[in-house]
Amino acid sequence: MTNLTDLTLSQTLKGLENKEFSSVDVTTAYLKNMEDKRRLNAYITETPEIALDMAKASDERRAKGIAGKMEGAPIAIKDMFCTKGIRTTAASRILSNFVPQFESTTTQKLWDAGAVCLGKTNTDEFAMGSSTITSYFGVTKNPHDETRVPGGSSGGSASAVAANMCVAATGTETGGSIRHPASFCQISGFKPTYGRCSRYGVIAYASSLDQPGVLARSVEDCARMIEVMMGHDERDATSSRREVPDLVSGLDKNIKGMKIGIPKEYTELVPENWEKALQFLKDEGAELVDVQMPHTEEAGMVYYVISQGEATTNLARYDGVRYGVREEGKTLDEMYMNTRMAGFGQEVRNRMILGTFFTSAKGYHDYFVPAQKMRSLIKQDFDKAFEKVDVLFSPAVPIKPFTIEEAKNGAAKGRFNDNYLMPSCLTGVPAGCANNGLQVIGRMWDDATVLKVLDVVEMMK
Amino acid sequence: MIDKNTIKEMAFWVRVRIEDDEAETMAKEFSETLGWMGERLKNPEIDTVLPMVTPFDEEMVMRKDEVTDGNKVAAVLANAPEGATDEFFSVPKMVE
Repeated sequence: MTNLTDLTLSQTLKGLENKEFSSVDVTTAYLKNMEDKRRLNAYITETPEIALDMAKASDERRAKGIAGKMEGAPIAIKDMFCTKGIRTTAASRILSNFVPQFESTTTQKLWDAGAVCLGKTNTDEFAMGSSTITSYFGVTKNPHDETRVPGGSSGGSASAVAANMCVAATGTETGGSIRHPASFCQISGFKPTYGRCSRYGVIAYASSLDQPGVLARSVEDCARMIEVMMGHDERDATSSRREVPDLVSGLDKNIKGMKIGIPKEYTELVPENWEKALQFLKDEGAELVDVQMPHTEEAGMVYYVISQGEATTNLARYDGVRYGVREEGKTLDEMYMNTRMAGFGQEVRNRMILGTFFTSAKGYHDYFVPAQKMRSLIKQDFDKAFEKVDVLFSPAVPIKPFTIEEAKNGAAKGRFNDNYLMPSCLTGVPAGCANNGLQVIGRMWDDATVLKVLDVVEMMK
Repeated sequence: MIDKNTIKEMAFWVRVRIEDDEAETMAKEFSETLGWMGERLKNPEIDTVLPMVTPFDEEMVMRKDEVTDGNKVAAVLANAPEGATDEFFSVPKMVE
């Protein structure tokens, strides 16, 4: 019998449909793998009992002829999504005892579609980082080389997918946190257009940037899963009322005549497979067009100002009064102070302090608003490029995963770590990376074309 | 530009503590970053555009202002730290 945990999401769903195996079979196989590979520290919380209950219920539904789009598929959830009755920590000590009494919209959609919850995956604390080293629950290891980081912040999800500890996983992006670990762990990842997925129930980092997405073993799997997560939610005023496109049937492996832009600024450093990839796209019939995006260089700075400013505001709610860990104090201020000192790690505290400056009168006038204007210029770069081309193509992260030691010494601060990822977060356009580390970025709301091209990119061996 | 005391003041605003030497280092590094960013943000192009507040390019529609749920005292208090009662959160005494 095939190893059930080697299958893609598409193959798993097909096998379940053909009754080759049951959801309990495949869930049990994943739970076994999770146990065997605990040394990777991909999960913060495993939920084996819930998983088996959900798998049994799924098998019963299927026996009655009812099957959702994710029916019986065992997935992992980044620990930034609130899950009712299942501890949700954002990898922070301050939420280490928090059990949500409600479910995030996107995870609810996955459960409604029949998916099975294996557990909650590790991340950098409050998703701030690109290595998982800032997690209160310890670093996650890269399954391809356990001395190295999986990338981040959705590093637990990426490691779990790559090590066959789940068939697919949710992630969130604020500055590249899906595509970065997907690239480091050699899997596929997709961040939809800002507004495609509801942010309700997703722990907020920087609200004008945060967007839920997926990590999986193939682009097709990403399309399958994200389609289920998309759609309007009246509890998120920035979730779109547009109809959810049929993403999977759009994957027709045909990019003949498509115009693919190659931004000069995204090719300063390229991986080994880059030239081959360009030739491959030409052989597939695409027309490659050079484009210029002159404000790319500014994205890191704009992200620094805006994300920290917004994070300061979002993290004000953790005060030890209503939920989370509390450290007592004689006065209210002392209690706040003790709670937040003990609850937040250093990286998060530093970002909040600096974010305070950007939201103070002087910092707002001199830096925050100018950064927002620069954000508009970055958006104009995209608008101009998309007048000429259908999608943009580039490497995702042109460097190799750093070691855990290097990460602790600040390797993630290098500019090639995320400068090809951040602009698409600032502008909200859809973007994904294939399991060979190559990236496609599309027009606002044109998630379908991004996935279609990525699906072809992934055919390159 | 930013001195140690400003850092300490900002730390207080977000209710975290920072040691003197850490604040000193942060002030120095942050001042350098601000100096560098200030130069880049002098780019005259930024006066040609409006600030971008959100990538969301559709109209934000508010839902009707009506009560859709409620009476969830137990759920609201389920995660309350020790000291909460059946009906209230608790905080240290605030008035003498």
